[in-house]
Amino acid sequence: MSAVLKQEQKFGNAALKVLIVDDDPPTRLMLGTLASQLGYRTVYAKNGETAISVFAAEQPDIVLMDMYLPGMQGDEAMTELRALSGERWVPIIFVTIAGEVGRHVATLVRGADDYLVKPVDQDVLGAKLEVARRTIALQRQVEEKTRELRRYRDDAENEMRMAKEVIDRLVHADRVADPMASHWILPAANFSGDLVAVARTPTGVLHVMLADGTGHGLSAALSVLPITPSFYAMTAKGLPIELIASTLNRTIREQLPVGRFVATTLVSVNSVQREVKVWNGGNPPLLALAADGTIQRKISSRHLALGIAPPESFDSEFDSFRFEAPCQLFLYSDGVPEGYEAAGETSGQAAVEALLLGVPANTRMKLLRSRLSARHLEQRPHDDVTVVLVDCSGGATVTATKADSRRPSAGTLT
Amino acid sequence: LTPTVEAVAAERVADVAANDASVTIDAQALRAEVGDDDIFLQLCQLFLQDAGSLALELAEALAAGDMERLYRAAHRIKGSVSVFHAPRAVARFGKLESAARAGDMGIIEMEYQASRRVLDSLVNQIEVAQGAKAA
Repeated sequence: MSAVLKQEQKFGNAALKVLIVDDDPPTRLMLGTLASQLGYRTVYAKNGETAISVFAAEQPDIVLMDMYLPGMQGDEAMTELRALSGERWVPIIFVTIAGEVGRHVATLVRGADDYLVKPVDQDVLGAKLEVARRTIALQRQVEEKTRELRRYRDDAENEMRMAKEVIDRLVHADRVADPMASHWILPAANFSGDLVAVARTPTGVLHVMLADGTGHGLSAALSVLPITPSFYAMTAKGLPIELIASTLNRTIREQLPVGRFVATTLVSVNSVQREVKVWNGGNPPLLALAADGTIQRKISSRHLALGIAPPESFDSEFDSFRFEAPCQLFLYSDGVPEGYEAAGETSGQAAVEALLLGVPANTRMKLLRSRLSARHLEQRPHDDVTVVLVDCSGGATVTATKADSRRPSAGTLT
Repeated sequence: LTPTVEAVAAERVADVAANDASVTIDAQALRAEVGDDDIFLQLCQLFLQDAGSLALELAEALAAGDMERLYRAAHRIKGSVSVFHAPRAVARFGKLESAARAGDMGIIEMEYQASRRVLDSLVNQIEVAQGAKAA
């Protein structure tokens, strides 16, 4: 049985190829003979320049190279060979004369994998080549795993692209267009767990929903999926937001796994009656802003997020107020104040409330996008960030009504 | 001072001569190592083919006072003779290498002469070994 065949059987693959680089013909022949006897295939080069061309043509697995070569030195040739081999790791073993300790160390410092001392002992050569073979085997495993991971990542990205397209269609992302409402979402992951839906009833009442599923990413995005069709269907029938809230709560309890909730703000803007109704379950406060950005009204969450309360104890009561002067409603998800707090603000809520002070209504969205984007330029937000602005056109004053009898703070705003 | 220098130099020359006499190759060990007469003969042939040009390279480098060239030639021969299991020869050419690096012409001249004698001796021994195997 040939030595090459023995090595193939031992290693379970083709015999490794060794490039021997030495300007001395007897040394080349000697090293080649010893390596061949150990079952390795051999190719030769007599200097650094030739080594580079032989390396490119033969793609050896291991290099045995004299450190001191005429012309291009061994360490220079090593640099070139490393560049040529790219991601494929090729162990380079320098061959030096006994007693040149400084040179042995220098070769290792410069990036060699090992060194051999002349006259080369076959047992030592065999052991060093075996170590190199193990390194190669390990490296190839890593390369294979890397390829697998890359394939997995590519597949996952393709699936995510498709899922995103499907989700966008299911939530009617293309329908979120109304001259009175504008919004902006900065997702923390590939998918946003925040959802904005905008629609009008048959009588022209504007309905806006800001929903924030538990967590972020795909699971959060899936959490808000079931409520979208109901929101659009019920708005199309002209049903009020309190009924929509109650239905969505039941839908989430029925369709989502236990522990998945959706913080939701539902807003109804009736331009004819100049009335705003708000049902806020688990989201940050809705702010009603005057023309100069001062906060006229703050409607905090008084309910649990959708999906928590059992249907029989669901509280569908809402806040409402009338407006006569133009105002703008500012809705945002908890990712906005949390972003400020993560950046060191004591109160993210206070930072958000100060954000639009003195800013004219028509430039607020631009400013929000600019400031919030700048905060997350270097890293993605920890949670999805969503802002919504809704214009309420009206007369000279904003008058609160008492649709919600339990809310004594309702009053007239100027 | 002069007598002292001369005494040291004489001692060194005697030392070099004694070392030259003990420079031998181990043909049997090499033959056992390569396990093949053909390869053994090829190794001898390769060495003998180059020996003349390497000796000339040493001489020319010395004549030109080109220490780098002398170092390279000595290094090349050192590597080559290491194949033939001749540690004293390796050491001899190592000394010539060191002398070339140091650049002391007095020492270099002496090491050169010693190295040439060693090279001639090696050539003779390898020719004999080659002839014996070929026969």
